Formats: sequence, C-alpha cells, structure tokens
Amino acid sequence: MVEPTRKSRASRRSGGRQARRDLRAAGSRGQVVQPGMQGGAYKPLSGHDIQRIYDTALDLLENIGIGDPIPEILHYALPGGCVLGEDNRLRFPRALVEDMINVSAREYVCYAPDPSFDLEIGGQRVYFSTSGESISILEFDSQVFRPTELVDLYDAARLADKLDHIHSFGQPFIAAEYSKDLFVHDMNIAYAELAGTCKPFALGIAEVDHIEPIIELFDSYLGEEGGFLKRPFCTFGGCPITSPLRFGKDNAQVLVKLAELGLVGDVAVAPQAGATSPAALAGTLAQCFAETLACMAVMNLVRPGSAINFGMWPFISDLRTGAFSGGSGEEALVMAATAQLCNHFGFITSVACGMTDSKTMDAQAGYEKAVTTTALALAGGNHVAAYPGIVGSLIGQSFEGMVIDNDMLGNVQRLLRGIEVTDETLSYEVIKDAVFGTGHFLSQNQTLALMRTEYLYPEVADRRSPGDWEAGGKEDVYELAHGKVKSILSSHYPEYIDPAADARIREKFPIRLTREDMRPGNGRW
Amino acid sequence: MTEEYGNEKYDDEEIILAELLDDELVEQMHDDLYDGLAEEVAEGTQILLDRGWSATKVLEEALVAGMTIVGVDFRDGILFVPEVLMSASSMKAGMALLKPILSQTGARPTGTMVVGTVKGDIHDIGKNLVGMMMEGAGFEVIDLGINVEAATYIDAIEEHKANILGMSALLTTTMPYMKVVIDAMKEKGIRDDYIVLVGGAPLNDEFGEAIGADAYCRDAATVVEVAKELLALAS
Repeated sequence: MVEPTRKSRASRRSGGRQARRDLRAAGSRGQVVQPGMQGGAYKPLSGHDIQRIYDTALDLLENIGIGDPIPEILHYALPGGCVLGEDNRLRFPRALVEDMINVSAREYVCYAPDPSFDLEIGGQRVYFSTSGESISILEFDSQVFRPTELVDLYDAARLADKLDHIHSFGQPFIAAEYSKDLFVHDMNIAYAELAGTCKPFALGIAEVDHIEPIIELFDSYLGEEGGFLKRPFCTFGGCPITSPLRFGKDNAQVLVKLAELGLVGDVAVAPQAGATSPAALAGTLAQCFAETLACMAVMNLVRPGSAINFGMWPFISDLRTGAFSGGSGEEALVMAATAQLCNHFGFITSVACGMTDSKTMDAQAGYEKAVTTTALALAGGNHVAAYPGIVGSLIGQSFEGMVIDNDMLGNVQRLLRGIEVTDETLSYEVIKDAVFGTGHFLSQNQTLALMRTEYLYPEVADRRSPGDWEAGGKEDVYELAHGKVKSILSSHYPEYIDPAADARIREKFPIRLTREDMRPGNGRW
Repeated sequence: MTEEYGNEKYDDEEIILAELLDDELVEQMHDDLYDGLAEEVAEGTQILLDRGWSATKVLEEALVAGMTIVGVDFRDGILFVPEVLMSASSMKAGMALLKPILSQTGARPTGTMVVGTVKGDIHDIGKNLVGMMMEGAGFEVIDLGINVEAATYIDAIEEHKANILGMSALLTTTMPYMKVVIDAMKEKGIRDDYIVLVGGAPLNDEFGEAIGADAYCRDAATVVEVAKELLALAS
C-alpha cells in the first residue's frame, strides 16, 4: 500500500477542472503582453536628420511664427517673451521655445476610473487607444455606412472595455443626432464613455465652455467636488492648429483652459503633406514639429510643467485626388519619424496609425493597419492612437474591426516584448532531456510553464485546419469577429456608475442615454 | 493560501486521499488526472484496489472517466496539448498498477492499436501524440516507430491481436505509402478485420477515403473519439 499524500505534495494540486475553467474564463490579460511595453527599436531618422528638423522648426517659430493667435494665448505669451508682429503672427524666440521644452512634463499617470487600468505614460512605453471622432459606422450586415449615434458610442466603450489590447478609449465617433446641440452632445459623450468603460478615456471637446460642466459631471459621479482634478481619468483635446502655421480658435481656447486647470493637453496637429504642408516629407516633419512645439510652448507659458501629449500627426495625401491616405507606407514612415523625434527630446509622444483607406475590414485594411501600427509601436510612440476598427480613411468605424484589430495589437505588442535570452531560456538542459528522453518537448515542464506566458493566442484569428474551416461554414475573420461583437455587446452591461451617482448626474445634466439602453434585452444586440 | 507556479495558482490545502469516501476519492482522482499529477493518481488507484474495487471498475470509473473529461476540455480549447500529455502520463501511472491485475483476470483493454510512421517518413511527433492520447484513454498501444514497412505493420497487428492500425505521414511524398499498406492487407484478406486510421498534416478526409482507410483523424484528440466510435460500431 502506498503512503498517504503528504502536505508538501498536496500543494501541487491546482483545483482540477473547475479551477482551470475559471482561470481560462478569466482571460489572459497581462500574461504574455502588458500595456506599456518598450518600443524604440525602429529609427528612420539619423541623429543629424533630427538636428536639422529641430533647427528648421525653431527657425519657423522664430521667423514666421503662428498666425491668428487668440487673446487667451496672447495673455500669457506676450509677457512670457513671444513677439506679436503687425501681420498678426505670434513669433516664438528660439531661447523661449527651448526653455519651454525644458520645463514641459516628461511623464504622467494617465488615470483610469478603475485604478488597475492606470497607465504610466512616458519613456518609450507603448499604449494603444481608440480614436477618430468619425461620423459614421459600418453596418456588418448591409455594409452601409450610417451616421453614428450616442448609443453606438456607449456600445463602443463597452466593447473596448472587454478588449485586452486597447489600453485607453479615445472617442471613436461623434453622436450625430446631437450635432446641432453641442452642449447636449458633449455632456452625453462624456456620460456614455464613463458608463461604458473602466479604462482611461478621452473626449474631443471643441467648446471651451463645456470643459467645466463635464468636470462637474465627473465630480457628481465621484460624489466629491474637486474629486476629478485630483485624479483625472478623462483627457480632453483636439486640434489647436490649422496648418500651415495658424492657431485654430476653438481648440486653442481649450488648450489654454486645460493648462490653467493643470490637465494634460491631448493635441493632434495634422498637416497633410502636399496640401497643408510640404510634399517633401522632411519639410512636413519640420512644419508639424514647429506647430506642435507651439502648442507645448503655449501650455507651459500658461503653467510651467504642463503635460502635453505631443500629437505631431503628419498626414499623407494621395496626390492623384488630394484625399487623405491613412494606410500608406509613407504614413507609417513619417509617423514613426515623429515618434523617434519626440523620443529623442523626451517628449510624451502621441502618434496615429491603423487609419486604413479600405472601406471595410478586408485584406487591404489588414495590411495597412498592420504595417502602420507595427512601425509606430516599434518606433516607441507612447499614446498610439491605433484606430482599432476605423475604416475609410477615418470616415467610419467598424465594431468587428475593433475586435480584429485587438488581435493585431496583441501581436504587435508581442514584437515589442522581444525574446528573452538567459541561461534558462537557452534551454541546454531541456534540449538534453528531450534528446535522451521522450524525443520531444511537448511534455517538458518548460513547455507547460511557458505555453500561456510566451505565446499569445488570438481571440478571433482563425488557426483551424482547412477541413475544420469548411465544416464550420467557411466563416472568415470578419464573420468570426461579428460573433464576438454580438457576444460581448449582448452581455457586457457594466454598472460603472452606481445608481445614486447616476441619479445625481441625471438630475443635473441632460442625459439622453436611457437606462433601458444600458441593460440587456434592449433589442440592439 | 495559494502559491504561484508559472501563472497558475496552486491550492495549498491538504487533501489526504485515504481519508476520502469512495465517490469523493474518484472525484478527486478526476481532478488529479486533470492536473496531471501522476503520483496522486497512482495513489488513488491503489487505495481503490485496497478497498476491494475490481481493476476494471477502477479503470472505467476513475481513470477512463477522468480522461474523458480531459478530452472534452481539450476539444473545447480549455486544455492545451502539454496539459493533456501530463494527464495521459498520469493515467499511465494508474494503469501501471492495473495492468498486471487486468492481464491476470483476462480482462481486455479498451482496445489495442498498432501505430507507426510510414516507410520513407521519419516524422514522429504526431504519431507519438496519438500513442499517448490512446494510452490515456485506456488503449494498449504498440508503437512501431518511424519508417515502417507494410509487412512490419501487418506482422504487428496479427501478433498483438490489435483492433486498430494507425498510420502517420507528414510528407506528401510518403503519404501514398498508406495505400500500399492497405492494399497489402486486402491481398492477405485481412483488411476488414481491422479499423485503419490515418493522419498527418497533408492528409484530409478525401485522401483517407480514396486509399480505403476507415477514417482520417485531424489530430490526436480526434483519434480517441473516432477509435471509440468505430470500435462501438464493430462490436
């Protein structure tokens, strides 16, 4: 008769079937890749190139300046040392710009409503977000673009909430039905994102007067006046520059307001090469760098030490038509160069990718998204607006695309993680054991230990055999993703806003998202 | 209290198998098989035998039933191949105690399978997996290795009174040899005495049918299911 099991051996038990099923159901978040993996290996520019772009940008700011400065900017910029010319252009002396570069924040914590999703922004740590503020949504069944509605934004937030490789939720589209009442629009997009995700989120707000009411809404959610500013889980932003080299009034006002409040400025400066910036890519980089440096300088003139997501987003034109092309190789190249440029100076980098020109989630979308996203991540952008799900050169959003792109983003992060080379991973003893033992590695302890920490398994990418694929109805990844969208959106109705806070918010603000829209059985999914 | 091993959480609670009632013990053995704990499975097997259980009953209710659960969760993507191999290895540890008793009492295993990689082909990982999975499911497996000639297959199935012949090939250049083996069985007039299963990366259902196999099996887990189904039909 064998000896009874001793305690030391009992500890080997892992709970059997139920425990394993629970573990698998909990997902693989953080096991293979984590938010904030290190980029920076891809460097399309030489050190000499960077210096020349920098010098040209500072020459542009000092000699040509930025046109149409608003009074709120002049209020801080003129005492700070900027010079307003008779041509109504605000010129930034070189020494001033360099001072502002030196005082600008190099890192910050991007808070989330749930602190376990906080992001440490800075260095060359890479995080992926949705983005876009697009105006339409691509319907899966009809393949028709229709205007986006508030409830779609809430659904997109819920979907991103369940996709591991989307680390923050930038506003992917507008609520078109409220586009004539921007106050209702902005209050409701803030509410919809807060209700749908526990990750950090961002809003594109162009009306400066809406910032404080939105903060009040967030304070109502927290049940504490001033609570939001202690731990801001939402970032505001927009495009304060109209290229070439002019301020855009509305978003410039927002930029100043954010600095006054001590909030991060999430800017996106997007000249289009060949149209609103030079066709020469180096020239576009120099101009875009100057325009974004102006935003950084303004924020730090208002409040030294301000943090700015240095959103230098040079866009590419298809010069056959003049239209924006987000999926081109040039877009990947020039945007990666901005990441390198910003990292060289230690800025908080914000870049954009995944902006396919294809109208649906097809092979073109796949390669354009993969090439641009890989380039940007390897270049080490911090805030990578990866536009998961965006199609049609930023015109439309696809829920299925979000799910497919989530798989892609996981794989891109796997590239960032790289290969760990240690005595242990070189596996001399493991190889010896296999050669003189079973002849294979499948039952080695190392394989067991690494199978879920070294290898990332896709959610929807199809790895079945051709026979199984045929037997399963020949569904492609787009159809498989649709199933996943329906599965998540029919079941994931989080109650991130507790009923008491919800009542407070609805009493004060014109919330249009109904409680029925936020429960299962509403007929949408 | 839990402790980390890789990314898995392991429960540290002490379980004394000998103190469990029969049905609790069987349930625990299913979990131990699932967790790939060979020593614990062997201990549980011995305890049941000591309590007067027949070897057949231990085999069916504790081991085979436990491996059936493993097979279901492998099919559903809960368990991965390395985990299933750990389970199969644990099953073998229990079987090592049962085998001598089963052979004394004349009880037959679930079935007997002869496997090998066909002539010209030296790829054996798929075939090895099949062998382990079949053993895990209670089959006796005779593994002929790689580069196996038709006559060797035929001698082995006759010698070991096998029910099933399994042939594996990874290369498109070697897979036609499977038909050579089946034709040789036909010539001897013994083709219908055996279930012939074929597998390997370049194969598919159509190829299996064309060469006269009973079934093509796309992976090691499928082999177990198909073998059990075809055996049930044959009996």
